Amino acid sequence: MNISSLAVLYNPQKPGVIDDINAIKGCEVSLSKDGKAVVVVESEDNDSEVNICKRVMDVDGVSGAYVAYHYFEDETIESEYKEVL
Amino acid sequence: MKLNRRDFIKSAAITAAAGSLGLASPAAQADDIKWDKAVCRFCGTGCGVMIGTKNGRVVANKGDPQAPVNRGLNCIKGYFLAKILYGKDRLKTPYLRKKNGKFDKHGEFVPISWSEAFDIMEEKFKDALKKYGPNSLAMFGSGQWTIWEGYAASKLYKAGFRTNNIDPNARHCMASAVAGFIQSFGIDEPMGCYDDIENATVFVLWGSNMAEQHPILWSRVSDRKLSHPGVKIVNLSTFSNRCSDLADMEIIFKPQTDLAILNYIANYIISHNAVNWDFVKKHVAFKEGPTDIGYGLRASDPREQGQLHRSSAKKGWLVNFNRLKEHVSGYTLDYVSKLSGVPAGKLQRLAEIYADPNAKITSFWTMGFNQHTRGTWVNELCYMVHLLTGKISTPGNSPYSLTGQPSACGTAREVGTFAHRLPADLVVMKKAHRQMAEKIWHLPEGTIPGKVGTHAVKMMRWLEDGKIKVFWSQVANPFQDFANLNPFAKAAREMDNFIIVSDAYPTVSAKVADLILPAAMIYEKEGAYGNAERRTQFWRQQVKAPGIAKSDLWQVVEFSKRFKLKEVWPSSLVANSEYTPDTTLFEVLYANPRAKKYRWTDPIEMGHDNDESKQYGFYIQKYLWEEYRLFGLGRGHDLAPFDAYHRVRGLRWPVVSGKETRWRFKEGYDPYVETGTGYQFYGNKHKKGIENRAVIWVRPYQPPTESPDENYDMWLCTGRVLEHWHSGSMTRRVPELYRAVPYAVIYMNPDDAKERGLIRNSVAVVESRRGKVRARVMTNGRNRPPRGLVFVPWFDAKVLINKCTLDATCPISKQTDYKKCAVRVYKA
Repeated sequence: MNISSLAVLYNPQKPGVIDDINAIKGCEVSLSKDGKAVVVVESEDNDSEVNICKRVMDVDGVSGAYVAYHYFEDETIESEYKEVL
Repeated sequence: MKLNRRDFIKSAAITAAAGSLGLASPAAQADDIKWDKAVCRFCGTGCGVMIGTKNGRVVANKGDPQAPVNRGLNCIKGYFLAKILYGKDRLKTPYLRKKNGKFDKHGEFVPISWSEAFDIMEEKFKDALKKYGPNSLAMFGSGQWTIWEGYAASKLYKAGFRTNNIDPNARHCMASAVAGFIQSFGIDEPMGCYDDIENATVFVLWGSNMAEQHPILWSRVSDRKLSHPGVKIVNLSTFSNRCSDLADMEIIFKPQTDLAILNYIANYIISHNAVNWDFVKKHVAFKEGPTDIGYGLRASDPREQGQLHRSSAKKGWLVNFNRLKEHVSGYTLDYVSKLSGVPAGKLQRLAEIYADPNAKITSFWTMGFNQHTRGTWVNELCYMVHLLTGKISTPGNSPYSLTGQPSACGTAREVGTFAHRLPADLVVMKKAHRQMAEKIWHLPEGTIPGKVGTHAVKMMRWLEDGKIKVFWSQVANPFQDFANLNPFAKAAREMDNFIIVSDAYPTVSAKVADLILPAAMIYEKEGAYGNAERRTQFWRQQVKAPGIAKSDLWQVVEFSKRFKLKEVWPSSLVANSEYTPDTTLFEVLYANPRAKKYRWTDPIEMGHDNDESKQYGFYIQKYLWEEYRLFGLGRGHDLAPFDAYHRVRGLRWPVVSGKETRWRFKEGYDPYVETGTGYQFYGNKHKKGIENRAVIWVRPYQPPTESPDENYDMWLCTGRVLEHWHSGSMTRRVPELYRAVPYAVIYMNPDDAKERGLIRNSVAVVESRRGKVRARVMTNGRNRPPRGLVFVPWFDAKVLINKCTLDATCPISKQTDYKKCAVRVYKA
């Protein structure tokens, strides 16, 4: 179970920013006011938090997306680094 | 139940983000996660984080809302801050190369115990000491060492083994900044602090891709710009990067011509009567030095011939303002525009900005300046521009060198884990400085050798020359990091030497090693880091290391038990000491009567584990800290007592009477500046002719060591990317990051690609005179080079771009230039 939240800064004059963020799979805008938004990111399969964060950063009108909280209980990383031992 | 828990975590996540944005949200219920403050593991920004543990594991992390640096936010690296502890291939036991049950350099890695690891190390160290002397030993350390780890290692080598052959990877990232500070101000580290960001009206970036490499500081810069109309950003770089998205002006210059641009700005300031004479007359001195200083290559290299001041590059003599005026008058707008390839209008606009008496300017730089064969000069030239206009040491006016590693300042620089340094800016070459260290360390006079040790680059060359017999690396990845690494890796694998690598993961360097020691990682030990604004921050041990992995501190201290004084010191030295020939280095350096006064347990630990102190029966980190801080007290490097740092979110030194210092050298902010003086650059207090003054150096433009020609027709610039930190040994263990930026690419101008029959995603070869790598071409990414330059990041162990780079260094700082060499690029 991976749950994280992003603190997002965006241009409130630009219409549709919140909708665009909500349209990203795994994203939910929980609060937004005056160009600031709280986005909750859920990813069950440990696959996409970072890509979701990058997609939020790339939404037109978003000036920054920052990780505020990250929960990742019971997770071991599958390294793709080549084993040497 | 699961749904409830999910909702519960979600509400905590929302509360954290809302809090960091100043938005109201329903209060989250208290959770079952145990939280404690800590510091981020990655760059030099020094963000505060909260680490959440449950059942002995880290399960969550969040930005620390009380941390003044980042105010509750983390950059995208917050996603792997704690996850990096849990990679499947964490090293959990020592490994030794063996054949038929015995050590063999050509054997396979076999898991062994710590006692067997120390047995072979002891044998190799003692053998080298006996046959070749202490200077056949070398340690390569790190700006990622915790403060006491670097301090303990420095003691072991400088006092215990009596060699100054210890140098950190910070040599590759901060040495030019250090040399610039020492040459101009007589004391290391920035005079300003991050509060400059909220006070500046102009930000000028010089070879610093802050948007990707220091995202939290960039968020503060962005916030300042977006909330204050009129605030400007200028981005100077050799290729277009993400900072340009927010910049008012982008200046793409030809590699190395930053030297000329800064001289032109000074010329403009002087010729347009924009010199702040009141400041300059009272607080500035002028110096000039030799220019035939070479390129830090081996003496036999043809490019070093006729360079008469190779070994006295930092020398200087006093000159006057008129000499500077005459010198910079040659840097006309026309000349510099042609040389740099920057349109004259842009250059003039930049000079006008610096000359504007009302502008509050913060100039940020990182590796663009520091990794430069004239790195010290270019740092000094930036100070020149700020000093001529008096834009220094006051809120918003700051020439600001940013760091890339979390404790490049705190450990490498402040502890002085360099081949020539001791703590608090003391140096081994000065007898009085050695004596001070010997007194604090309770050593007989003459213990610390006065000869400068091998700096990092020379360490590798000496490995190749067979002079280094035992090489120990901690918290670094030297066989991926060093420029021109082919011959060095070959020497390590094939010659008569013994290579020890302490690491948490099987990195490229671990592969090269003979012995791998498994390291505890950041939150598995108590630690302290010092960031780029002189802020020292502590954290407690949160969880246990896996298997029998141990902290670097433990490795150094435990190994010291294997040496009796009679085995490492001459008998005359032992006779002059308070110890017996059979006293161990452990008892002299670490477990001495002074140390044992710091009892374990201690209420400041709040019930947290501390594996080292528990084993030794005294609070070893506290002892090392309290001893270390004696070096700086009353000398401008004052640090607070140990417990203070566990109570606050860091303090910026000098900390005098419990108060931190935000702007140094300025009366009213810095307790060391005497009343009525305005400013005092007290690093130069006792230097004849420049007492309490900052120094402007007269420095020319000189061409790079290697430039493109018919055979190798493009510039190669290397660096980092947002998602991966340094050599990727930690960040490449997080699968989603791996997929996001799976391998290093060649960022290239589309016209250059087309000319070579390449398109996006083609596999191409980047080849220099020293080596080649294959990677895919990227023509429309976040980094957009001009014609004639390619940018390749160095995080990828499969694209070892340092096979291509040139090991030329700044002759003053000995820092490698990773930003400029000549390559050709062709279809694979």
